[in-house]
Amino acid sequence: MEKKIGVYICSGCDIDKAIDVEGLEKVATNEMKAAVCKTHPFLCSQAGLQVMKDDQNNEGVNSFVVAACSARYHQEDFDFGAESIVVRAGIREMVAWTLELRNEEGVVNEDTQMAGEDYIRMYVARIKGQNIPQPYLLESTDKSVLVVGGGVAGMTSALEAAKAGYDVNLVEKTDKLGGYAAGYKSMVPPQPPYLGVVPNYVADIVSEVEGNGNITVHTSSTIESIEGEPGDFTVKVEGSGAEFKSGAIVLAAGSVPYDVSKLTHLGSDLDNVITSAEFEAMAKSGAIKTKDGQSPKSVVFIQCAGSCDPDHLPYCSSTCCLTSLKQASYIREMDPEAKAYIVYKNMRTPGQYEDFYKSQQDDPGVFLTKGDVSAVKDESGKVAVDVDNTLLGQDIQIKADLVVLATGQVPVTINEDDSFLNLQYRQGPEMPELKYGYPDSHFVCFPYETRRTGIYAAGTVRQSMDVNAAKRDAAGAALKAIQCIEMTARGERVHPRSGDMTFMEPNLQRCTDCKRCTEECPFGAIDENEKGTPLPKSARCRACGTCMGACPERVISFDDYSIPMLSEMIKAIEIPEEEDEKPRVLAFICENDALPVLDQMALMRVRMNPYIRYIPLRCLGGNNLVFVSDALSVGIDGVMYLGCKHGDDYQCHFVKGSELCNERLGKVQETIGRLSLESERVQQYEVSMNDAGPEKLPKIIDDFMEELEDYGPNPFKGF
Amino acid sequence: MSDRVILDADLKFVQGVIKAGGQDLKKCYQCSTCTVVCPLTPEGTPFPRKEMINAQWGIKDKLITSMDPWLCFHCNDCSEQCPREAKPGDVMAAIRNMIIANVAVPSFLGKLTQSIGGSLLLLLFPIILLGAVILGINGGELAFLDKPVIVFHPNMISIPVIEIVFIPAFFFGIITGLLGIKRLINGLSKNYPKTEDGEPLVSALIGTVKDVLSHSKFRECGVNANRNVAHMLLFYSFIGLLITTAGVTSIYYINKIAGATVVTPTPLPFFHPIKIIGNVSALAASIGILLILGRRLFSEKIGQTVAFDWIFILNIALIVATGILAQTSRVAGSQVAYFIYYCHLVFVFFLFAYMPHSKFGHMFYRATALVYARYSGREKSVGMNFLEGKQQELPEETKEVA
Repeated sequence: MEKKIGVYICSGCDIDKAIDVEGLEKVATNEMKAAVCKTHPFLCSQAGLQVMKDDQNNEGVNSFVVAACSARYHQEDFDFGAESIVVRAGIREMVAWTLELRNEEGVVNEDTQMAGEDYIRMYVARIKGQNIPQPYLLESTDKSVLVVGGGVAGMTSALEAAKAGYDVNLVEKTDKLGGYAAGYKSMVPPQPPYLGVVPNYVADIVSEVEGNGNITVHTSSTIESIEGEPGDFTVKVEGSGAEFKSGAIVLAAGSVPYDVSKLTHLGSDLDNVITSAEFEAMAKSGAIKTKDGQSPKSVVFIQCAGSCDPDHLPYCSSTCCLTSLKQASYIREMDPEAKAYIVYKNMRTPGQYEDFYKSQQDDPGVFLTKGDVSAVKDESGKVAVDVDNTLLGQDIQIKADLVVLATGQVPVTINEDDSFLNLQYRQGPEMPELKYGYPDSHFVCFPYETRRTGIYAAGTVRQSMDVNAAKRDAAGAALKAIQCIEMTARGERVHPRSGDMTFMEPNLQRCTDCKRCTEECPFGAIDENEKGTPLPKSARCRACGTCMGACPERVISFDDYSIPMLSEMIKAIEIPEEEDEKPRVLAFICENDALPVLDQMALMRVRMNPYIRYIPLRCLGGNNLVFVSDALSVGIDGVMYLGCKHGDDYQCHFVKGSELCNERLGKVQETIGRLSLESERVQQYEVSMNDAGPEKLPKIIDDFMEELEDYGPNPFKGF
Repeated sequence: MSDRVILDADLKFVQGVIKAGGQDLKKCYQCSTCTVVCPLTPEGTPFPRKEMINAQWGIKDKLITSMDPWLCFHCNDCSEQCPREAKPGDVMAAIRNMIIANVAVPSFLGKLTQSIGGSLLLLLFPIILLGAVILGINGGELAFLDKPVIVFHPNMISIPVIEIVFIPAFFFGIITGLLGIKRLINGLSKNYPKTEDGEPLVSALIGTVKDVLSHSKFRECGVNANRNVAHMLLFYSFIGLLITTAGVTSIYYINKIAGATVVTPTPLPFFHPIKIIGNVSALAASIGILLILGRRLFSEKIGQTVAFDWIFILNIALIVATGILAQTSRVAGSQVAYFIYYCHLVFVFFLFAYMPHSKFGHMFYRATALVYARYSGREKSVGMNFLEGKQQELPEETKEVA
């Protein structure tokens, strides 16, 4: 495409109170050779947009540099069709609202003006390096969903997808559907008013699944292998022997109770000490008995048995309190004189289950106390439970016929010997795990997302939850699976760059088979052949650019995002002479967190340092060390990276991007050493939305600038 | 381990407390808002949070030997503020009922008075006894009905006969009451040994009498602040009626001993001082009991009213009503007056004989506990009321700053 570049400057929103827009126009036309450059006092208005549309129609402008607000605003307004390119130089936020305004006589501040002009240079340079995305389209997209696991979550996912008109293959390893919850005697009510227990309704879900013509059930079956990519997975099933295509996958393999044999401090080795699972099974079979066959007259439920305990499960499973409250009613129904004691650390009945808690608590024969269980002993046929720090104001001992340990949930995937998906992926056959063994990409913000595109975890395999929560979770995962299928069919990326048409494209002629991209891709999107040559599975790509940052040969690019493009932006920055004493610092900022932080600061009109030039990256994972040498060799004094928190509780949208950037910068000395510069000139900082305010980010920047002063100006200035 | 106690929750006791008025007891989740808002609780080991869990678990021994239920005046500040609507105020009242049922001597009376059925059974005794006595002394006939002027004594029953019946009944009440007090103190002394904050017994007694006469504790209540008015009316009218009874009896014996009418005999004229005291007391009692009835029937803030409460309230109400009606019907010359007076005697007998077993027993036990509280040193009231309009008076200096 022959590019005809138009630069459109908005002088509204107080932009002209800080910037002399005529100066910017001169840079655009004289220096950067833009074919058209226009200023409008209200660019996003109908009239302003019409100016641009007229130029598109009459002048043939097809590449628009919008020098106005941040790219996070008015995305739909500044869209001129699939045959045009738009880049957004956010001079409102990065210049007009955060740097010095004109003085009282109306004269612009020199530094502010320089920054504005630099952004015109950078974004005209950028648009020169961008191409119109050409989508990756499968020959045919399979629109069926594979669900792994036939419990409540799996069945609900299957039903929800089927109801939405999608075919489903449901694979269950046991000989019947129902899963763990099928073994419950009664259940916590699924809807208001949440009072008392309700009969087990899992059988209803099973018959609904069995009666649904869109769902093919494979019982006594496991997954032999899965290969391919969203829209085109090839699934082989061991057991039913079936082989079929799938568009997306829901992993609903469930959880198991925590291994009670580790809880000897709670008497797990004693005769009449059992788990809530064992108790439930007894209740289901119709007879709750002690070891010697007696009906228990008193039962103690010990909550948090191995949960919220740094030596066992450090987390709260959020269901054990509900289970014990439910099971207490079994005892009370069985014998109106029997007593149920519940000893808890914290009674946790999330959300409206508070009403269930209240209803169970109302029973005069249910005795609750907060307390720490200090010993569980066998005492002549009874079990003595010592409880310290009780609400009764003293340390107590309860002698019970039966003790039930309310154990927490552990995802089935925690056992590394078991296989569930058997993915034929270069990065391994199963889902990557996070803390506590749960397969999850982002616990807090994006619950359904995983690090395997098109594969969504649902139910207790994803997070410990109760049956009703698992149903909601499963419905969500089914919708994510459908969304993935439909977006893949259109050639679009899924979360977090939803709708992006670009994907990683390596120039294999210059590839050295170093395997860095196949290893570092946070989503396992790139397979490889025996030699180590990458075999990208483009529908698995999330377009974060981590591979682009990793590639030492710099051969990976995206249609509108590439190393040359970013290098040109760096080189477009005007470097003042050393004697001007105007340092220049380049800041790469993460589009997902750091950029919104800057926008927030702009809204607050926080005064920022005028010597910084910001370049947004899709993810800091896209940082290639060549950017550092590019920047330092043109005389930029320092380089900052502002990105998400990394580590165990990372906030990176692409899971590993900010961590990988940090790792790469650990080796920056090699690059900088060649230039005989100090490695301290390059630093990475963690910035989150909480840092949007006058204290944190300006201080990070000021401290960095102060440190730079010690090293003096970059000696490469002027070369 | 030495401090560890073996607990066996007493389901029956829990059910008992629920039945005795603590129906929302199990709703408590131990947040302790109640103890914070209570205007009456002492600072150390405050109530009613601990009573709530002890009652939930049915820790009978602890509860029936506890002083704290008696330091509670059922203001219901706690019930008003309770986020779970567990109504600690009602639970404390229920615990008091349970204490009466457990310390009353003989025990079976304490149990019978808890229910309507039991109380009706107990009521049969004075009905039969007084009926038999009246018939007996009148030769099995109701001939007095035909006498032209209606006079209760000696037409229907003579004063000595009344005394022969009522003095033993009264002393039965007092003696069993004292035995109950002894049981109560036994429990209290175990739980609350005398501390250095304690007052000498005499001072504790005087202090308590002052508190009772002034209703000072009652007045600290927030939610049911004006509840002390009705109680005060009843309290003082009972004293008035006691004076009236003593007066009438004295007149009778003075004349008897003198062998002539030295002082005005009964029925007394309307403006006789003793008659005035009696009638004013009767009026005050009627207002008091009407206030209580009204509030028990129509106010939600007053809390739960169970059989045990109703029996006592109705007993008083019936005594007052029959007392007034007996006099008015007598003056009006209606023969019904005799029957009403008979009923009046039956209800008075019920009140006296079952004093320590019915809710009237609070007179013994609360008074004892209040004295013991001062004596043992548990009488360190926080004296703060967190509810609106009842804020503690600020010191002058603080006020200026504010």
